[in-house]
Amino acid sequence: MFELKNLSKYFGEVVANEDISLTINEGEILALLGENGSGKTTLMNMLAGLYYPDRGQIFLNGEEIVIKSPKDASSYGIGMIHQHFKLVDLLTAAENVILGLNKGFFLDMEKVEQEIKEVGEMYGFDIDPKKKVYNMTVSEKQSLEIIKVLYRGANLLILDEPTAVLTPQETKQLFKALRKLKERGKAIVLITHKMNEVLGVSDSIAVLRKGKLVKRLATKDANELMLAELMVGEKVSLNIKRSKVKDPVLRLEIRDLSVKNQYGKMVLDNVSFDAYGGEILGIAGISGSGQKELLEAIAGLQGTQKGSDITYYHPKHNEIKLIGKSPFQIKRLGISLSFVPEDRLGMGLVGSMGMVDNVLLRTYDETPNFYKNRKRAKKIAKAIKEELAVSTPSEETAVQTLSGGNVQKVLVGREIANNPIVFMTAYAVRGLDINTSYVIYDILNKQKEAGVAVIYVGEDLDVLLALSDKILVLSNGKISKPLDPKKVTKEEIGLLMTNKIEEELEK
Amino acid sequence: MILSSVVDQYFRLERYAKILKVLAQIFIVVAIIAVCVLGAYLLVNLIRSRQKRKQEDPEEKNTKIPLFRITKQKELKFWQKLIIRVGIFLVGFALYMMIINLITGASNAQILSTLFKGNFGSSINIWALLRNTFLLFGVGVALIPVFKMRFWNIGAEGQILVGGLATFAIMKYLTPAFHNMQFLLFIIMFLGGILAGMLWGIFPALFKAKFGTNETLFTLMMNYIAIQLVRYFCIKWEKVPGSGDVGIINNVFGSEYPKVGWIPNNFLSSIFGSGNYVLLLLLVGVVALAMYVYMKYTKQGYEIKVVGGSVNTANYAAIDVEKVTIRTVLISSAICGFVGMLIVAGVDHSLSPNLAAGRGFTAITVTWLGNFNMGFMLIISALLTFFSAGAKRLASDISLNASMSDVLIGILIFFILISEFFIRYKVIINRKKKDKEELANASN
Repeated sequence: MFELKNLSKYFGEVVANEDISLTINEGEILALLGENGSGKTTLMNMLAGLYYPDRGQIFLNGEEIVIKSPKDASSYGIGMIHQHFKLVDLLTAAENVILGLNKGFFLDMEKVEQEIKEVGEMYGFDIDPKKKVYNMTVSEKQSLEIIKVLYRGANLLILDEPTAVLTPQETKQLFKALRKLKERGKAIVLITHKMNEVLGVSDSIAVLRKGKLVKRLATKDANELMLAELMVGEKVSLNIKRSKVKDPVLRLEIRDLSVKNQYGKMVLDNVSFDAYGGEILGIAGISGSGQKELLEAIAGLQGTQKGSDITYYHPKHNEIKLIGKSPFQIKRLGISLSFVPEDRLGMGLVGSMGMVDNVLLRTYDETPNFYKNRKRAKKIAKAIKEELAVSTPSEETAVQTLSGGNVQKVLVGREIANNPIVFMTAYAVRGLDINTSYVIYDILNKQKEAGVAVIYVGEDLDVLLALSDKILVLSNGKISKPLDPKKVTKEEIGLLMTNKIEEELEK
Repeated sequence: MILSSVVDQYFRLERYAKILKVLAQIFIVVAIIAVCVLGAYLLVNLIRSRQKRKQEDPEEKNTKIPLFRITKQKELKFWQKLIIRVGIFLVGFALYMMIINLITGASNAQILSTLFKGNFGSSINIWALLRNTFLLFGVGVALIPVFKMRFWNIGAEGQILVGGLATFAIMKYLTPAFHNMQFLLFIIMFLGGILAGMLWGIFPALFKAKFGTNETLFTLMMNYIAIQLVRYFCIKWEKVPGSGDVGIINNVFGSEYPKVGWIPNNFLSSIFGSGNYVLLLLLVGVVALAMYVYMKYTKQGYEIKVVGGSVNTANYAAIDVEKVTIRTVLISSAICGFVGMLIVAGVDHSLSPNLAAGRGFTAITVTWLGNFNMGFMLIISALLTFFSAGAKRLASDISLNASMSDVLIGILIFFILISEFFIRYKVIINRKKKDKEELANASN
């Protein structure tokens, strides 16, 4: 039994955790629920030895322990499975497991492999110890991470957003394994912000908000709306409206789009689809299935293979071929293409600049003057700040110091101020709190009603199904036929996400 | 007998004195290090023993906590930063004096007066201080746009050299034709200097823009080409065969065109007078002001900042990154070439491989320590110039080894850096007991 007492952690003026007291029992799955930035990961990082608490104590079976490093954590039987796997691609599963374990000078690899197999069988993980990590699928890598901490004798397993990278089917499998672990007397902490998962698998829920523990309750006493309100701290409504499509106009025609990455692998393979003004086109898929490349190819940021074709139907002029044009040329042609990329601070915004200078990115080149004119950008920045309720000390504060949600609001606000004809978003609500997410859905709907062709790349299938007018599924660079979200189920999309498209097409 | 004569030869009294002095110097340095290490050791031991006592305390079992931790500091007010900066610099300066005192035995008053004599002793000293400060500052200004763009130009030294070389060549070959039209000659020298600088900048810029070549190595290597090129011309144009010395160009004595092309002794001397560097300071000032406006108020300055912030974002925003890269490096290297021209036409009136005198490298320190703020950059240029001029005087007056002076300047820079650390971070020493009391109070 682990007991946290008044744990606190501060980053400068930011309160990451304050006076959190929590008991983690063996044989129990505890879900740590909270919005992004509420301090879930920080709290668990203190248990895992990655951070040292500014204040507070940790007890193991009543005795105080001090965790200064991941090694200490491991010695107390604490193992953490991070959101981004910490595996060496070139090594085998077994080699990854024993990495960093100092057990004598000689190494009996066969014995280790045998032991790993046994651990796997015991808890229901099917794993080949000789398989190299780069040959593994995402869910195999995750199983390996879990086996790694089990092999090291962990009694407390902390999983940080484990389902973010999994399909619905893989998620089910993971939860089955977690229940088995629970039955064997392990303590499990699940960090997540997906409420349906919490309700499905956990025994007990701890809700964090703004670094503080709001409530600890048994899962059987909880429901979705109540948890959402605990997370947000005010009343929320969880309905996404879908307005009716009125006279759609063809805006983008994509034919046989193929993209090779730097290693020569086809990340997009003969992708064809159309996007219509006045519609929201949802694109589903496991992250890294070619979504990034698809949007970047349309924006002129990605080199494409021969035979690829992207045609843009301008409202006033004729059709324009976008293939082979740089963003600069596309802009010069008067094409209003707005793009909210996945990596906001790496592409889309300049972190060290304030809101005004970031808005200026889209408008500074409008006049031929040598000197820049910030007046219009200032006005737009002010409007964004007010309309989207961006919380920032001033419009000149560097955006990298703002929280993820506010950064996203700045980016989305600027792209809408750009008066787009085509509006592309990649993971528009990633890292956003519930209320802001709904603000963004609302904005997308308004754009759609105004006749904009919206392309929405998303990860939450519930949202995709509720918001889109058509859904495409990307899997390993291949794209499915357009699906009707009113008729298709989550499970069907899940199947398509895991490479069943070819069979589907052959039918 | 033989032995004693050998001993005699090697251990004569003067030699003794020299060896003793060297030994004394080594001993002092070793002693300082030893005291530091000993102090640290004692401190660690003290803490360890405290911890041991805690461990014996049954209640405190198993609680070995880390000694200290570092957290981010809240944004400080301007005067708080000033106090930290000045305070830590003074600590560094005290150490500087202490070490000089230990090595040479000179009193603090003596050291201070020597430092000031070296910089303010005569009008020549004062002008030299101003001139060198502004030349260094000028190169620092040249580095602002490239560093803002995250293009690591460490080739300023070479760009200064070729700027100086071009200026010298123009003075040498065009003076006869243009000695009556000095303004025109000045314009040609100016253009020659900046074009030469740009020539040294264009290659790394092109390669970076087109092929993504690492600019650090490229610009560094260009320095060596520049040095060898200047060496070659020094020998080609040498006054006395075998000396490698080109002498003073358009010398006051023995030259047909005394002081032609010199700034400002002849050129514009009616306005600025001669024997001073007002024009030089003014020119650097104008360049700095222009750079300030360029970076702050122009679209091009804005583009530079975007490219420096994130190349991906720049591409995304339809900025032509290649064009911006090349243009910016050309501007920077042009200013370096211009400084080279100022050094040859305004200060040295001669050519040597040392004419840049390391300014191209020192300026990197100036720009970064000044954090791109021209006011701070000027202060740091002045400080560095002050101490290096002071070092020369210390060497002659109280015979402090010149290399030792460089080490000591390094210590001062180190202390300036330390102050930045304390401005950004806070060091907290963990005190378990007190925390517990606080906790108890909080829960009550």
